[in-house]
Amino acid sequence: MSTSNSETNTNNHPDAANSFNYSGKDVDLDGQTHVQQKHIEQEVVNFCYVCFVCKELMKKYKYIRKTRGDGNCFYRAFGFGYLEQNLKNELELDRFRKLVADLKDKLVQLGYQEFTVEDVRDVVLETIDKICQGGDIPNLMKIFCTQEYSDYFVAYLRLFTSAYLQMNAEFFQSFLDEPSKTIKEFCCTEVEPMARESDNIHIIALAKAVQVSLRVIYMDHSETSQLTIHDFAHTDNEQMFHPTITFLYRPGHYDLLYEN
Amino acid sequence: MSGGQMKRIMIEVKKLRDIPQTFILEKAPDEDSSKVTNTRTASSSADSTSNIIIGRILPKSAPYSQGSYQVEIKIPADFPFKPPEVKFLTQIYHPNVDKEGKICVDLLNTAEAWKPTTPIVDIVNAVIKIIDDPKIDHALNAEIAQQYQNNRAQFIKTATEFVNKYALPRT
Repeated sequence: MSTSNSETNTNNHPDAANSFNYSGKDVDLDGQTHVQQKHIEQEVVNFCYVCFVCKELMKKYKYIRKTRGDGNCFYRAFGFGYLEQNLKNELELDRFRKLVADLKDKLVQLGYQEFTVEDVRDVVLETIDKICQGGDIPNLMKIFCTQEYSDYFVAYLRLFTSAYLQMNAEFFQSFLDEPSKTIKEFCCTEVEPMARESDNIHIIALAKAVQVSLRVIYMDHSETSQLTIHDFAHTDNEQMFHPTITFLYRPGHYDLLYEN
Repeated sequence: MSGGQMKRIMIEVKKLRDIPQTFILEKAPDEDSSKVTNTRTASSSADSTSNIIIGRILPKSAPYSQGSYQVEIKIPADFPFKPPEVKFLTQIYHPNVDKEGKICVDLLNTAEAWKPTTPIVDIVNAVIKIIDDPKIDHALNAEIAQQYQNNRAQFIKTATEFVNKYALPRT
């Protein structure tokens, strides 16, 4: 445990409140007491916030499904959540299958080598076919826990996102945190490499690219008196909004939520 | 290994055969051995040794342009989601290659640069580019990097000696 910097340490790590300098000569006990009080107050706020969010969530949602925390959680949760919602919906799966098949040509137009996207596309098509032929939730679980299928699905959803961003580069350019980066560079470093985490820009692009509406509930302290909800519509007609998939976001991670 | 992965590797190998001006392919995983691999359990660690590509790169700038250099490209079990590992088998005197033959190529940086859609041909070209045009601020051998910057004549002399001693023919 650190015994230095106790007076300036203002982070809310649980150990920080105990890291007092008993051996130092110029101990500022008042200052340390103040820091400790602040920590306790923060802990209370955090606890109340978690209680509040849980209570609010329980009003509307019955389950949460935890996803693997490997940086791919948004895409993996999306893939699983989407297929789960449409297990028996042949029409919708057909629509999605066509989008999957057509993405390859778009990628080739954007300069990708055919064989480097074909292998991924084929495995995703195979996955969709498996679901069509008798998909139930245990089956889907098995598929998404098998790396050979699951990672290909994640990679292809990343390509959906990347292609949509690139094809609408002018629109998305102003969303970038680093304005000197081009959309193409952003896609190369922040979208396509596996395990890169997702932000709002990725979510907007994927929702539009595959035409699926999403809702994200943020548990990130940005609002303490009500739930922070962001809806990502796949069309501009927001009155019709109904999310296919709902995510719970906690900093750095997405899980799935299931409505009552 | 999945079918998708084997198909991909076979095409990668074919593409590597198509660039005789920059790369001479010497060893590649063949489809028959992959069928044997497929019948084994997926987690068998012995599988990894069957996924090695070996070939000689043909740099274009002096003194390296006088020879060819054997490199090993090891394809990981979770390719293309993890990048291949590239290593020099032929000794080469270069600031970006360490004593074990390890070379640092930006493309292969898992966290920031590696994408499943990067073709292996691009990796080979990136290796040749760094040999032709050393990147001193990413040196793996600090001594050679220093010599490259401060005593270019001596650097070229030693590099040429290595070429004469270890480099392989270009045909």
